[in-house]
Amino acid sequence: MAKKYSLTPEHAVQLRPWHEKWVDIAMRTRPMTDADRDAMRATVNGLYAAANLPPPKHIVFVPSPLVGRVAAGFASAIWWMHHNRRRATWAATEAATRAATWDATEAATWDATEAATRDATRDATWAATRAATEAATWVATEATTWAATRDATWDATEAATWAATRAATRDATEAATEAATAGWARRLAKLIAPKAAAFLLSCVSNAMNLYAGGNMWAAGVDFLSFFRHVARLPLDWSKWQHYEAASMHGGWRFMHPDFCIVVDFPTRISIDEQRRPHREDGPSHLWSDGFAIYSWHGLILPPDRSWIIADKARITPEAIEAEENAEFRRVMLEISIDGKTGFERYIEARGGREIAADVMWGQQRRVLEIDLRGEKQFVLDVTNGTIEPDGTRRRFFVGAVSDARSRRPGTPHEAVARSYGRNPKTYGEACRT
Amino acid sequence: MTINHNGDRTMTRIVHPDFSLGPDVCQGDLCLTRLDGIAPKIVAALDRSQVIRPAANGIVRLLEGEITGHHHEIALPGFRARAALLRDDAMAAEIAATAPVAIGAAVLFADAKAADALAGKIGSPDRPQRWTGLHVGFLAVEGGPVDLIHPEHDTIRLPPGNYAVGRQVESAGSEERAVQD
Repeated sequence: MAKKYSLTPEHAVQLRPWHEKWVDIAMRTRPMTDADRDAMRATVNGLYAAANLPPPKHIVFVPSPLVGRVAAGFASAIWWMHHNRRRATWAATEAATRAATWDATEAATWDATEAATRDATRDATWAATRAATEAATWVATEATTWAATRDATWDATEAATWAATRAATRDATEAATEAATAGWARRLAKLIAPKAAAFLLSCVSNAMNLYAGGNMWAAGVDFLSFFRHVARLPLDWSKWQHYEAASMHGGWRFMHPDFCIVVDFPTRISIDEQRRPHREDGPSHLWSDGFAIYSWHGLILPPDRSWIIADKARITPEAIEAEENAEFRRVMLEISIDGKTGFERYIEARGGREIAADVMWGQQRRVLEIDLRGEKQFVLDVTNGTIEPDGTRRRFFVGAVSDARSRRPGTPHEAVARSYGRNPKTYGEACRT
Repeated sequence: MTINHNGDRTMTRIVHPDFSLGPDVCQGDLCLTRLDGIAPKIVAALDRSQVIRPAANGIVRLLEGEITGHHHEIALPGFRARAALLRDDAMAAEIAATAPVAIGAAVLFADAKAADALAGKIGSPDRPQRWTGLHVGFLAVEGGPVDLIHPEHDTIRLPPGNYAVGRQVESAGSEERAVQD
């Protein structure tokens, strides 16, 4: 294919601002406005038209991805039963949630434009737009929300559904399943369709087949929109423009022949300095209906572990020792309560083996070893160089940086030097405050 | 009792580095390594053209405090004079009495070539790229001393010279994470 475009200096200077604009769109925490909803109605209808489909009978706006997923699952099941009036089976679940609309709209919009732009200066723009936006946003938005809705709905739906369909006639099993899980989605399904509750729930498990994008899936849109608005490639944008608009004005989108569900933006997205989902004092992601995701430096806490952040007072030495997952144990050790990290509280309660100590600027420094479920962890115990207004000194218990080869921190001097990236042999403190 | 850069009364002392003990000036999670004695050739070749953060209101910010909003900063001359314009006469008198007042000038700049050369020289031999990852930039101080200030740490009075500015990591299991201040 002949080259359609070469990146000009005038356009090159717009790469960074374009990327930043789309990062803002992906990370949006302002709620949808009436103007956004009007834009979404028009653009959703445009997407269906682009796929040669009649417009959906209903365009519904919901407050969170969890509501979106459950509603999309239930609705697809109900519409399938309405259209088919046949016995609901596992095969029907696939049919009910098959991404008929997604396939059609993707073929009509995405492939046509992406292929045409592929021969443009992909290398230069790809890194500056798609890759950069994806790196800046993916983990903190799409991936986190996807995993969280899967986790949040699993207990309530799939596990319950599996047990129920496997032992449909065994009331005892059903009762046990209901007791073992949250059960709220199962109860709701029974209320809506008493004889087809299991089918409704199985469609919720499969509802991600209906997911068609939204503002959190911004990286690819960033890339193509540069070619539309900045490079102004003379392509037919009349279909893709709807996909672009849908990525700007709405959150997650579930598309079905009979309905389209659009999720509002979160009210909070909290990240660490590596742009991973993270928040110490509450949910890292929050929607207006209370759906919350708890994260620690990129580790998403499943619903049964969200108490580690939401109810930190439950982190006791016993709870730390009882935790089987090393990553969750680590979170418990790192998290601070009343200015003390879990390391400090654990060492206060259980002690730590002192493996090295020295004195610097009149204050003791120690390297301690704690052994948790067979996993050795090294902790540096140091005191602040500055005296607090109340005359005390702050004390810090932090993970000691080990030598990459020996995997041991060595002396306090070596561990402190390494924590600044410095060679312990040439490191020497002229002063410390 | 002294006055910090916001004009607040604090218990901050002014500490003078003793470079006979070593080249590293540490203020919490910030480390400045004085290069003049240990890497003279690299110092002579430093290129100051890429200024990272120009002075604003008499302050050069070295490291931002992401959590507390408290930053490690260099206070340049004139700032203390501005602080003396506060309406609190007693505070203004106390500021005037603080001597000697820092009178130097400082600039924070990037020099990737110099940083690469230094990683192998002063970085930890087991992982020199750790130093590179923690490196913020170079600070050139001339004309007189300047003050390295932070609301939660005593002030360090930096003499003229060339410094490599870096931050600190802590171990977090399989990863190393920048200390969050």
